[in-house]
Amino acid sequence: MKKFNTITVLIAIGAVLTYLSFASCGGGTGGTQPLGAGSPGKVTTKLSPDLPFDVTLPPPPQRVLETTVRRAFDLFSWDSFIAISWPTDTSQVIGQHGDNPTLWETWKKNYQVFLDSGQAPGAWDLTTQSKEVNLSQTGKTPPNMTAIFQPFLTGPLIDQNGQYNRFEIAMNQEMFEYIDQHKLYNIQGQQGFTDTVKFPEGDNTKKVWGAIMVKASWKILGKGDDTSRFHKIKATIHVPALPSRGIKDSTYEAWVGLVGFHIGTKTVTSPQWIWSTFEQVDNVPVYGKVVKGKHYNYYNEAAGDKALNKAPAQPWNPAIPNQIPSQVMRLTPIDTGTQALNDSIHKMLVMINPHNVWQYYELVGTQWPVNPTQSNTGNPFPVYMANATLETYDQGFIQAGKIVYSPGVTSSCIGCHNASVTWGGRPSDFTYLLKTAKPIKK
Amino acid sequence: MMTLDEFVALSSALTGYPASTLLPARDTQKVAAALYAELSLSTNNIPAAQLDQLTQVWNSISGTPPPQLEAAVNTNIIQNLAITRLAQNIIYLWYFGIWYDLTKNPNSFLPLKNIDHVVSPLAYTNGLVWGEMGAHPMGFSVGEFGYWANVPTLPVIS
Repeated sequence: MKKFNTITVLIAIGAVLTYLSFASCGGGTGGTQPLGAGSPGKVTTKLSPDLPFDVTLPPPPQRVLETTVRRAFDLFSWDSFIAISWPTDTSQVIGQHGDNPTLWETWKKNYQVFLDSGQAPGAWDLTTQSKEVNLSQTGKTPPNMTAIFQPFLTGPLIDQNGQYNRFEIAMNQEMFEYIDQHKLYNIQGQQGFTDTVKFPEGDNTKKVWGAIMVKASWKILGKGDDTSRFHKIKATIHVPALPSRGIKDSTYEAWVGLVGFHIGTKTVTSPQWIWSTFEQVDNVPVYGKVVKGKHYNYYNEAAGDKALNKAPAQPWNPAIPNQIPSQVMRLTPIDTGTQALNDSIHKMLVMINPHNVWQYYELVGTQWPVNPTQSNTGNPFPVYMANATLETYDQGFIQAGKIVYSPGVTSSCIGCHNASVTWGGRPSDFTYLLKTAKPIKK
Repeated sequence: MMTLDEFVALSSALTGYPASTLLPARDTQKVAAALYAELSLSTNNIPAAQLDQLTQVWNSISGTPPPQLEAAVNTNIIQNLAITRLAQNIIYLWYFGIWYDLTKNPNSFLPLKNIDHVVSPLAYTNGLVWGEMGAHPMGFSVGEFGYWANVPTLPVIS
């Protein structure tokens, strides 16, 4: 990964923003004018491409789990999101021209690391990695794991146009190099690996980054979508064959918009990783709080709630005609402190450009291990966390109008990833990616 | 009415676990609050006089130095027929995450009555009994993959 220097980006006119005031009160953007105003002069924004190494906690006396500590982790999440969504041309500013190609899109995709041939992947090369966007996953988990996870309610997410969501997974250079150096990119390599899988940890003291993996959820843009509110790319869409319905394997190109995003970051303070999750703001309403007349990506007020948060009936294939859209609500509202931070950062993004697409993404939450040494899962907080586009059907249950959460069933990033394992039958350090490896083809 | 702090202190004396374990400073699970709420749940039919008496007795002995506290709890609460069932129920709450009907014969193995209930999923998975056994509740474990092949470890209660 390219190591950025701490930079201050000068973009338009206005006052200096102090990061501390922004961090502590969730404000501080007053007095600036947007880039689009065309006024000469300078403004300083603290939004930057500096990717944090680890969370920075407040001093111990000021640590309160649900407020100050949560704020520290939420700031880590936003700093990470901004940094890896920054333009690859770092002389530019995030969203300066509305949308931009991002740093994370130059990272290695899972299919570029775990090759079908089982051979060693190509070297880390930002110039070639970004040229290929092949969206073949129609579920959160990679195809070879789908059979395992179907009983746990994982199923396709279908938008209001009847289109399946598509998913992709990418990793940073630190994570890739660990896999590459230890030959974990194929099944035989993992079976021969007798050590403990331990990905590198981000460390504020050493100023080194740890392993980072991202999971993106995309919708195919179409009727009813305001494309100015999405980070979008042109991608190759894969349709898997379904012989029983006469559907052949095929591909086509389409514009897709980012609707969900996970960032998993391994750090010294959080060996169970820090789990940050973002969504596009138009995805779904909060349970019981539908905004009348609003267009949601995955909710239709007229459709009723009979199938609320329920996976569609099988068979699952995106080419089956007349698919019924998913009817989804967010069961756990975004924490009020997290929402205040979202509002503050949205203001800063608007300052850069009123048409900045990144203002339409919100942090849903951050999960971290509160007591990393207490158990293998480290006492995660919040206990449950779900992205409406990635853990759609695992958010909890509604019984008699009340939301019920169930340990081991309701979505918890750390709780679920704790069960990940290599092809050698060993814990895989909280990532299921290694299980997507293939055998070496002779 | 017993306060949350009184409930946690009494629970510590009844279960043998430190108050800081039952109600940790960084409380992610909110189990103590959920269990405490059972005391004011009208459907549990706890006689107010019994709860008041338990609170008064506990407050009268709570200042007893630790070496003698166990004996004081035994004499004044466990051996006190007027309040022992309620104290027993509090122990059940912490160990099983279940509220049992106060009128039920504690030695009966008859099926649960309608009033018996699991307080919450987290109260159940955080039940002290699992750690005591070196086990975990059915369907939920925080162990590393393959833990089942290792000898269980038991907690050390200070």
